[in-house]
Amino acid sequence: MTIFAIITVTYFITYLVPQDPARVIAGSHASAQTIAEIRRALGLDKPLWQRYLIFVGQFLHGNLGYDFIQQRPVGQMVLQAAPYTAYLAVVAVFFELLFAIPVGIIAAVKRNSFIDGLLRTLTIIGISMPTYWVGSLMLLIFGFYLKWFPLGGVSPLGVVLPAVSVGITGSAYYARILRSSMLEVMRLDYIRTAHAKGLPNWRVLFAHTVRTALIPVVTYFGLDLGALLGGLIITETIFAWTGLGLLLNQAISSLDDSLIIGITLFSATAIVVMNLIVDILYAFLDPRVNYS
Amino acid sequence: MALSVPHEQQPEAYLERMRTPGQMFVRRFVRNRLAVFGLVLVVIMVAAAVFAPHLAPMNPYIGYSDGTTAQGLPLPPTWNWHHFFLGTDANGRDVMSQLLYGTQVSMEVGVMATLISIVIGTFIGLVSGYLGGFWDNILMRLTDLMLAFPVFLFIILVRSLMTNPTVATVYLAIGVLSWAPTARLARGQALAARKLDYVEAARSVGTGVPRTLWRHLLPNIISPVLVYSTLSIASNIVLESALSFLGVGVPDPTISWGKMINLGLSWYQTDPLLIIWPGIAIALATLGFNLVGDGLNDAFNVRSDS
Repeated sequence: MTIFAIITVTYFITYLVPQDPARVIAGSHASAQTIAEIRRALGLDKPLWQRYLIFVGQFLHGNLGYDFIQQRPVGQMVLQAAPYTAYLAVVAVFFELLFAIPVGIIAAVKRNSFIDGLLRTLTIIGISMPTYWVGSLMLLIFGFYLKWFPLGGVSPLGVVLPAVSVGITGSAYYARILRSSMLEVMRLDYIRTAHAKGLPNWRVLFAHTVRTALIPVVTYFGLDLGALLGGLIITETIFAWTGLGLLLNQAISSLDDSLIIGITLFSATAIVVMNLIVDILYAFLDPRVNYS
Repeated sequence: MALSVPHEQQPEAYLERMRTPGQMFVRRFVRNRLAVFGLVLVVIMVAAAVFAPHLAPMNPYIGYSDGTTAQGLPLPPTWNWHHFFLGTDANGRDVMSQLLYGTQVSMEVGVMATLISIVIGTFIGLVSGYLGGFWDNILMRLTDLMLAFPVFLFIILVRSLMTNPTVATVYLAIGVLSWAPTARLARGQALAARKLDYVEAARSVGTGVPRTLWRHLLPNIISPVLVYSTLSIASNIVLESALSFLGVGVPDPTISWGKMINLGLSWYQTDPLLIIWPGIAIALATLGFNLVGDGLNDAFNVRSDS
């Protein structure tokens, strides 16, 4: 349903553009007859609703159209770049959680203390810094001055800086959500019961509190996917990581509309599918959720 | 005379009771040092945006002929306010003046985009929550759809297909595509508020739906919406700079911090300061709005965290 809406909206956005693809392909000196022939070859002479149905049909077959600027099918380029973005995304989420979970737990356990205040201030600063700026600084400090990591490109070490940049800025939200959900869970009766039956504090914390408190974090993960992708797109540009972001950046600078549309459609669909997976995962984590 | 007690000796609780809710709110906000710091940042940023033409020491649009070294490289900071205070960029333009002009776009896009999304979102949320039933179903379906939309990508798409983009294009695109969280928030609040006695009373004396929404429900739900708006301005400032960084933000020659970072990135090996200054500017502006939003939230919710 959502995917269908995304296709529809994307199609009509592109339809609103006054540019005629046939004219672009034919060049500015082409005769009216050549343009008409190209229009027919591309199916542009058919009425709007027919073209729309063809567009949807093509998409369902996995065909994202042909890129006349790069002379390659859009789908091929997108599929080539997507695994790199997925790889970076997984590492970035790993760093997000690596930063966020300890911060969230410590802030909740030591609530209203100096440490809590400090962590809270740090997370607000983390939220306030643009991902691409953090990325640029990382590149400058750890790549250029310290030479610990490569300045860009795809390599096992090269994934660290872009993933950490996305991780630092993304983790701030997770830490805050985890903190407030921890505080809520810590007030519940079953936590008091666990303490009362003599379990050690660390066991109550990790086996009972953190596990329950992570549920809103999973929910947020689903909502955050769009923002995560945004962060990845822009970070890839800085680190020359050959994923969808870099491809999109090239498409923007060469005014390659069909490629921009293809990447948007593909990523939007990917996000919707991921959201669905998160929803299913959520049902496993929280027995109260029932989709029947 | 025996009855007059010096102010400092009056009990705290007694003082609290003497104040109106508004005064208590201001007092709670002012006590929060971080929130006040944020407010100061916001005021500075807004002032910089309004008075940029008067404050800027040089013309930010002009590449000065003495603005680059003999090899065509950017100049380092001179610390002379009237002559390339923070140095120049690769085109020989004064960085300090560009930073000041950059606040204009950031504030304009941040505030306008938020305003648009808040107005749409609050309207949809209020109507949905108050009317319930059929309309609630339809409007919330739409909201869920919008929530699942990767807004960032669609703004890039819309913006890159535009033939004559303006600054307004950018904030309209952001505003129209990002109202969904506000609608969710407003609906939740409206659902809770419509059961309240005074709303029931308003309805029973024959107040129409538009008037009930505007005069009775809206004031009651406005505080969480206000908190969200403030935080949303911060994220829209970052969004604008990110779009401009990618080259799909505000059109040339408008100056934007994101563009400055993009340009500076080509020179980071020789002039790293070119990416550091605009980044600090973005971080301070967003930090200001985030701190104010956080402070407002704490001041509205007396019980939170204490």
